[in-house]
Amino acid sequence: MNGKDAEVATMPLVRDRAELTVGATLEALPRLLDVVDRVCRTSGADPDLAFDVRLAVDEVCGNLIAHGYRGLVPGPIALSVEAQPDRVVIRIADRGHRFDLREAPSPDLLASVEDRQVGGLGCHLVRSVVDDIDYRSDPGGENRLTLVRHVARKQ
Amino acid sequence: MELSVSQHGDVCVVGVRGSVDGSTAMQLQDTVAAQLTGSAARMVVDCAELEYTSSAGLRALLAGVKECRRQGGDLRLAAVSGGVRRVLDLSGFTGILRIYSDVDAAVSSYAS
Repeated sequence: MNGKDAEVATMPLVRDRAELTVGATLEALPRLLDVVDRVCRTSGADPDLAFDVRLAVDEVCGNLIAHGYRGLVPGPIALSVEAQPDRVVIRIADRGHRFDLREAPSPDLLASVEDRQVGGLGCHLVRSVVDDIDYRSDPGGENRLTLVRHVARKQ
Repeated sequence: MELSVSQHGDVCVVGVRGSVDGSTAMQLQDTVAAQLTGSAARMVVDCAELEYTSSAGLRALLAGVKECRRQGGDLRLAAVSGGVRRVLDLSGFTGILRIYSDVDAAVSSYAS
């Protein structure tokens, strides 16, 4: 180390990719998280990276299951998790209501216990643990969310 | 996720093992609520073997601490580390919950 690199040295990930499409029901959530855990394990992701990727998928898919198809027959959630040497790319597609988590209001993190609401916390956590968020809502009805978590994060 | 419940004097300790996510958080919330009936509402959630939580787990903890404090007690955390600590920090929960290094410290905090 020559001192100019402030980032913690990290091993590049082994390339791996897995996909799973399920119906948007709570029973399917563990299967989606299993896919995430498997890719993180085989790619050699460190515990913090694996935690963050799991959290992002958990929050987004949990939200889709609870609200994405409200008033509709629950449709699909299509998950793809891809490990590249320097990043993990998560793609989640659904056919429910449009919801861009970048636009969700930030929760009041300083509220007292009595006033504290947990609504909105999931979106805040996703925004905190990933580096890039892209969201497209097609006129045809498909919503496509892409989340990128870099292996080395700037502190 | 696995839960264990033990009594240390008038303090109830709920141990959480594994992962709390959207599909398991309700079980944690129900278990905490069940210990509150007829007890002193002094609770400790032991996180030593808690590897993961999402906002669903935080929702369960928040419901628990609100109810405990309403009854004049509290819900305190023990042995929080790693990613779970980070989620609590990111959520501002380290400012509203009292956190101790281990169960003994959390239990004895009620005596002072």
